[in-house]
Amino acid sequence: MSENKVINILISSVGGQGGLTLSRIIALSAVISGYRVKTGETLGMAQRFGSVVSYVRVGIGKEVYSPLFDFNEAHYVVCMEVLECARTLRYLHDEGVLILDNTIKPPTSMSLAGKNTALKEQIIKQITEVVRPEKVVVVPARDIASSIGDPRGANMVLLGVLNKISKIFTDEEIEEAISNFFKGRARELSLRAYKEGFKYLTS
Amino acid sequence: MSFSNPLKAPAGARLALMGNEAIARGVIESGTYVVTGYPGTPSSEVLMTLQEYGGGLDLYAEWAVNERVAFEIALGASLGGARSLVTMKGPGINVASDPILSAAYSGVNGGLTILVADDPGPITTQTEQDSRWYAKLSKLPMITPSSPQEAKDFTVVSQSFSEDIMLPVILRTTTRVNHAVSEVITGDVRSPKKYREFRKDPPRYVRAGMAWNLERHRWLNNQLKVAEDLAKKYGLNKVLGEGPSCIIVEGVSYNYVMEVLEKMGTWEHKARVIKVDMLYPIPRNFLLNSLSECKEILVVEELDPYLEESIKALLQDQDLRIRVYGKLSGYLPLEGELNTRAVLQAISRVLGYEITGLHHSEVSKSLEVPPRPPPLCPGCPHRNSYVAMLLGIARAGYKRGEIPVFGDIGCYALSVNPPLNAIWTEHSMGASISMAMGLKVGGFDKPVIATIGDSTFFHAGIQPLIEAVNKRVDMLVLVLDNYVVAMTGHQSTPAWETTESGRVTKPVEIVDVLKSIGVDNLAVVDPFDIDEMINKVSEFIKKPGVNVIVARAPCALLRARREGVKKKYTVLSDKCVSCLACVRLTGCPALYIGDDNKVKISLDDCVGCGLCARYCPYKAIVEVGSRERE
Repeated sequence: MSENKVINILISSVGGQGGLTLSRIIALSAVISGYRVKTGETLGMAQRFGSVVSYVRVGIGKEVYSPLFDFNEAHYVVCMEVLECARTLRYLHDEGVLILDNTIKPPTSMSLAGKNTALKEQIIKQITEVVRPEKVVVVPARDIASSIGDPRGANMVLLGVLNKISKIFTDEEIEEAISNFFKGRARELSLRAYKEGFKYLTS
Repeated sequence: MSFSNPLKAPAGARLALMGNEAIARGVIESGTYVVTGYPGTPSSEVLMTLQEYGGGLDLYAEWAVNERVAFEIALGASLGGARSLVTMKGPGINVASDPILSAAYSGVNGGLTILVADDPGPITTQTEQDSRWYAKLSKLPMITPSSPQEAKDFTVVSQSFSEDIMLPVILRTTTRVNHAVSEVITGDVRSPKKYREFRKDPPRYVRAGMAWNLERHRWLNNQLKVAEDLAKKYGLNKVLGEGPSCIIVEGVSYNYVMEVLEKMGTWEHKARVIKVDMLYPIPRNFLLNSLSECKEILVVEELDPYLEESIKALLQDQDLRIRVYGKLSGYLPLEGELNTRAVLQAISRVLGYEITGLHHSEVSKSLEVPPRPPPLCPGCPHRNSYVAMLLGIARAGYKRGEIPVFGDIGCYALSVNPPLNAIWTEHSMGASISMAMGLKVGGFDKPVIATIGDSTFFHAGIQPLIEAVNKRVDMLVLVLDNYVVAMTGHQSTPAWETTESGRVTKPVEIVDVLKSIGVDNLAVVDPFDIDEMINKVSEFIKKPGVNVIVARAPCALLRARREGVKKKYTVLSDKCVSCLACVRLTGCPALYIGDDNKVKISLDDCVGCGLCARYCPYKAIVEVGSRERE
């Protein structure tokens, strides 16, 4: 990548899904690649199950100042969960790409209101109505991660899809970042999950 | 090349570090030997990083029971010549403020840095407190970084600055620096500065002599005179650009301003950015030199108009008539955190033309979806405790809405959300017991309940309990003992046998403390034995005296990490009648309603506490093995 620009990536997830880890791996990949990077995060108070938003900004030949960006400024929105995706959709630029794991984690408010998981397909449909269909990539990331041994690898599957589309990093740079961050079995699973995600769009 | 241990990476390494990890690296580079603190978002990762990666380093890195104790430990170390650093969130400095103000009179010997992390937004804090006022109040130098790189560099600067000026230095950060991850280039590490000598010097260290205090106040005011020279020596405060429109920035606001100016293309002849790194004392000469040629001034800062007021006073003092815009002129908001859009609008107004290059927000792509307030985790013992409390209140013959429940600070405050709707107040550390007492002595004639976690009890709950016992005020106190500071990321409490760094302790037992205070009735229950806990609540709520139930079970996340998950539960769809009793009683986030309108349990999340199964009227929820997956 030679053009001087800042690439904005928004990651939305539910606490515990691994959205912050995904943001951290992208930041690490950026530093390994010699790019500039800054991340910001907004999360609820609890350790788990709250809404989590991570802003990742990768500067290619350009300084990154703000840790945040505005609505309509994300080149990529990566969603680990459907409802959180709907909440963060407004960050997507008109030309931006939305990468969505078709997973729903119903919040308690939804169950208390008697709403069932059929809401998932309804929301995915609504998302594809407001975002141009060719700009939406729906990925069964959690299922892919489960099939190779652990649903927690869904974040690395999404990273594979993101990098396949965006080509921000080389595979080697991402693999170095993953190897740096994870140890033991989690490292092997994460590397595999990344590769499965990268392959997903061509298969 | 990248390094996985931020504390041990060689100088010159380029790392991806979170602001707090960068400060931890700064601790090592500055030769700081004693690091203490009390957990509080967004400050906690400084000590956590030192504990996780500091194995083998010559360092004292331990949590203290509260912020004032933490500060006093750091001060004691510093008086003996050791370099020390103490960490806390914004409200923590309220707790530590008493000794901090006195420390300005005694001064320090080894460098002492007070890291206070504010939270504009607020993102995780009870108030949008602006701790910059503490610098003015205590007359202590304060510096602030704008990025993780500066967070590290300023930590190192702070310790030398502190020794030069012989005062504690407050390193003030905000969430967007503490929790930002960015590239950080490491510097050289130095060996820790430890105890050298402690000389007896009552006029300096004893605040009982009023003549001494007056003299030390004079000394303090005199010390501050060299602060600006020191700021210069350490490369603090800088000016970018040479335009006539001046923009004063500090901390993270520098980033939003630079972001906007870069959108203008070449801005250097239109604007001048005056970056104030030393917030107290205000760098007068630096500011006057940079401001005298300004056509107008915009102050971009988060929270209160702290710099704005100081700048106005300075200009008035010098008879300089330059318009100052900022929060007081309504150009920037007085509440919430800043962002590029708000700053762009303010700069456009000052420059008198629209800066383009920002995509204006048509919020067309917004969809309405159910809210996701943070819940108690699946298997959380606090859920059982509050369910037992509510059922116990009913069993004792009271209506749920007539017994006030005073909450305290910790995960268990999430019991305020539906369906538990349990606590009526959550105020400040330890306030549950004293506020419950206040309601009673004010004339409330029904029972009151205070609920407080173990770490909050150690932090600030002991003195309120002494007060309640001593004054004979009837109340039920639930100590929710999950064995850990859970909300901030699982830090140790004084009940641990070994701390995170491996230091062997003498554990302090909450039950021993309660007995020694002389509470009237005391029971220790397992909240997972819910029938027993309901009985105890209904029994204790009617008895006179200060009655305490310790509900003891480890944090579900901690237990799962240590012991693994041994069993889980699933719903038999043919037996489920969709009555939602399980959902309405527990509000457990592992429960959800499937496409067939039957309740399901997320096997990724269930940890097998069995509360939903216990209250399913149709026995539709049954145990399954721990290896089940959806």
